[in-house]
Amino acid sequence: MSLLMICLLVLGGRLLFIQGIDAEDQAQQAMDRRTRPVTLAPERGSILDRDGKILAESVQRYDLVVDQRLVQDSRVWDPEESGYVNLDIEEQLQQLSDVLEIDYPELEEIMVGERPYRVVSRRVTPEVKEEALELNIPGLISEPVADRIYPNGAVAGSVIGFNGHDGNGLEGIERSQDKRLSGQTGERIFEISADGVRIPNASFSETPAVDGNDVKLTIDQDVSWYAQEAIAAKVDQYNAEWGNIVVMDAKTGEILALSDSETVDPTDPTETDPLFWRPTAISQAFEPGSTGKAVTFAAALDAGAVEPEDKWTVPNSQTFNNEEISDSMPHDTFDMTTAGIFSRSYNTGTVQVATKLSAQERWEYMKDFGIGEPIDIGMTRVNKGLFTSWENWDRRQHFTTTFGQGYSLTSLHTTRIFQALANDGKMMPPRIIDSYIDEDGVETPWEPPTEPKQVVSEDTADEMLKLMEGVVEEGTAYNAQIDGYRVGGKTGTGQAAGAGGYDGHTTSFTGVVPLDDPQFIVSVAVHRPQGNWETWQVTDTAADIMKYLLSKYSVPPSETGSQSYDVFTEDPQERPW
Amino acid sequence: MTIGPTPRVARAWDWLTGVHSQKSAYWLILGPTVALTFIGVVMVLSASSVEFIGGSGSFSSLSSQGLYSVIGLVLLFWMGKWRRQTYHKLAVIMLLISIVLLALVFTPLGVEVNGNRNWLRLGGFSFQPAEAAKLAFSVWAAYALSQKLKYQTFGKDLLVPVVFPFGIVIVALIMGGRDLGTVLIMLMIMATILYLGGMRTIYLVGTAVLGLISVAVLTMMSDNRMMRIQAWMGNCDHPADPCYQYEQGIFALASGGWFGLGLGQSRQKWSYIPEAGNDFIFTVLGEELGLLGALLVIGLFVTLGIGMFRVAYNSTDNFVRLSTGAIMTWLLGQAFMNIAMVTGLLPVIGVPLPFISAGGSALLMAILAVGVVLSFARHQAQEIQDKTSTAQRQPVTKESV
Repeated sequence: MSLLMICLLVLGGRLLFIQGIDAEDQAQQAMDRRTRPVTLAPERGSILDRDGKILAESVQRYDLVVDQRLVQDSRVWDPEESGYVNLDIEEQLQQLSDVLEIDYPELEEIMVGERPYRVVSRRVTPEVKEEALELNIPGLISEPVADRIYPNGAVAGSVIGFNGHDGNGLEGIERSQDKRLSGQTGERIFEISADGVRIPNASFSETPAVDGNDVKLTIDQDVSWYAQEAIAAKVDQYNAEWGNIVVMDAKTGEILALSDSETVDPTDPTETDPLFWRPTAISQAFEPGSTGKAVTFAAALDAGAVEPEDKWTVPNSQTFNNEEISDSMPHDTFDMTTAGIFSRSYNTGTVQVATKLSAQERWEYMKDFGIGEPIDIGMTRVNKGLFTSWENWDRRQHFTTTFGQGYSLTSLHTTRIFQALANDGKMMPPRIIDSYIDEDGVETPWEPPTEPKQVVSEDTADEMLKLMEGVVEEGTAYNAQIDGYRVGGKTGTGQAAGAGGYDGHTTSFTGVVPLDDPQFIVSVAVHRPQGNWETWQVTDTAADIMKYLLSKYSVPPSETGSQSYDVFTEDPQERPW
Repeated sequence: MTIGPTPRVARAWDWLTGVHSQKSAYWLILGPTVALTFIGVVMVLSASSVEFIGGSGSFSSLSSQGLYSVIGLVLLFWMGKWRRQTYHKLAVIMLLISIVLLALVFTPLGVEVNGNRNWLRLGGFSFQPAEAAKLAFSVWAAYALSQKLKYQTFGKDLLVPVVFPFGIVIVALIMGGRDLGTVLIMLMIMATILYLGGMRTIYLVGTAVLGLISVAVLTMMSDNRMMRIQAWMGNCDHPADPCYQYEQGIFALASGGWFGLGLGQSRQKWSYIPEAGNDFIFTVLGEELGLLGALLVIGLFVTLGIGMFRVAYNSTDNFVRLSTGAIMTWLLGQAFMNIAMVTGLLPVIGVPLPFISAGGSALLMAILAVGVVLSFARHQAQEIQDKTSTAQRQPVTKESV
């Protein structure tokens, strides 16, 4: 009899061991099996244009995933019928095939097998997810993911950039501002029952996710679109490799457009040449050619070495320090003003003007204008161009650098130089990111890494605008003229270096409008156009963009007349080229 | 009476047998029974509430378990007043009825649950005839044997009719339903009665060895049972994951620790433990009430055992001794097997925990079995009172007789 008692006492001992002495480890194991950490995905911020129009935003999507080992006939409880219903897996797969619009054989291949995890369909809408899950197919579950949509299509695609499958930025603002956009993931830890229900009275902890910031750009979506259409047409016309347009606010340095001849579609970037995955205006450096003369003349004027109406004798070809410098087209020897040399863009005259300064003086001005310096606008992979110190210039480079050869820069560099000249000599840090907007709608402006910088005096800047006006009025850029508005600028056709020396050209124009109160800088560049160089011109495209800007931003027409200087010291001013 | 190597052991023995307080047996039986039944109702509600979410409602098990416990306790008090002659008359009828019911299991009225065909369903009402058979057999066999013992000491012919034919028939019928756990309990009951009836230990041990061998053979014949034995010995390598239930049970007990997670707070009952409300209810109890609660339950069974032991020990009536012993073996033996099973000391044999596991008919029969012993205890107390009043007139102590 007491045998039974002893047995029961043994049980007491066993319980003491399990619950009292050896409990910790087992309890922890049990806890581990029940605990489920769930990552709470923050919502990725949107990318907005300067008016708050959505360029890119995230929407809730689901990946349908299957555990193939569970795919089989099943029985489910039907609460309406109060009974179990048998489900035939083949029939269910047929239905799923209709819902997902995947052919049955293909779907069967995906669903049947031994793999515990296989993606059935990516990025389905909540409606499709609901429909698919309602079929009650064992092993089929959904995982929430965020999908990126671009409500206005491929506008400013290279600026926006794009994301990988994991939702992380690969290019553009999506990449450079990834941290800001992604926010912080949260985590929820809770215990679940064996059939997957959360145990209501068990432990629970949650670190909420912090949604990513919206990134508001200075980009104007409409201008970007207009510019990308225009440059595409121009590049097409000359069968060029690429072309780009930069539009900048003359006073603030805000970039309204960084448009490329081909615009990457962020939803399908592989369709586009990787060259266009980034704005070419920041990624491609080229030798500017005559556009670079703006820096040369500004330096000479600012140093007080020349005056706009100084008299120069300008031959077609001239030898300096054993280096023969020629103009692109043969012309008579002219008596010209400083301004005239600029507007007709004669190399021989330019070298005469430039050599009034020492190489070091010129180099320092060029450096002040930001040549050879990387421009940080909050985007990755910027090209700083190639610009060697004057001490390392070879003999010819001393002269070629005066007319925009022997160094390289990007369209954005050039645009920035003209912005300084149009803004009383004050160069503003260019900006493409306006501000960050957090979950609560609080805006934090983007802080540029550099300060505004007075590059040349206000007087020099004023004179330079007159010189630029001459280019459009009487010089090489007459196609940039706009009725009622004073336009200035500088054309350039630089030789483009290839593998074995110069084997192509980059033709460009950078203009300022309107000159009496500069509002916009428009830079147009076309790389390696085909055909006769004499027929290449991009001034018409620039004028087109300028007209669009003036109209869109309702800029009043110029009230003053042209202030350009005479080209020649003696009349007639109309002379053959 | 007071035989023992030292006075201390003798005093312990006296306490255990209750010679000095013979009326206490009544309360030692009644108290634990009521307490265990109450714990059972609460634990069944807690353990099976999750299973019934969305189905018939979390409280459905409470209503059925609660109803049976109320019926059982009412009957318990009523039976406590019965005289033992009443059982004499009832015993044969009950035995025959339960044999018929056991046989009915094999008709379309029978229902198979988890591979065991041991349920009868009539209308919306279902129960396990084997539970009734345990009680009927305990009472009847004790009566039959005690009648024979009035005329002779124990001999081979006393095996009739307790073992042949009725014992064998019942065991065979239960075995037919593949309910090995209940078969083991029945065999234990039978052995107890024979032992108390005077069968020589050597025969009993011999039979037990034979029985174990046959159980072993039966086990080897069944893949399912083999798997469970293997799992018990630590070999879990089987696609059916035979260790899962045991492991989850241990997890529950360990999670409970010393003081438990609190009533209703079990995590493991959330579909981790199969049969959480039934065979494995003790693990949920251990998780929610801790080691303290688990030991309390064991303590209650021990107390119940002491109470019954006192009744049997202090009785001179063979019927009382035998039937009390049988019932005690049944309830405590089954409790031991269940708890040993969920703590991994025994392989997983489907035996529910008396009073506590969900199951109306099992609960009812367990309470009624206590009722039988309780009536013995009551009458014993009555007799002692009578004797004491006699003793006052004739100052002779029991010891001196």
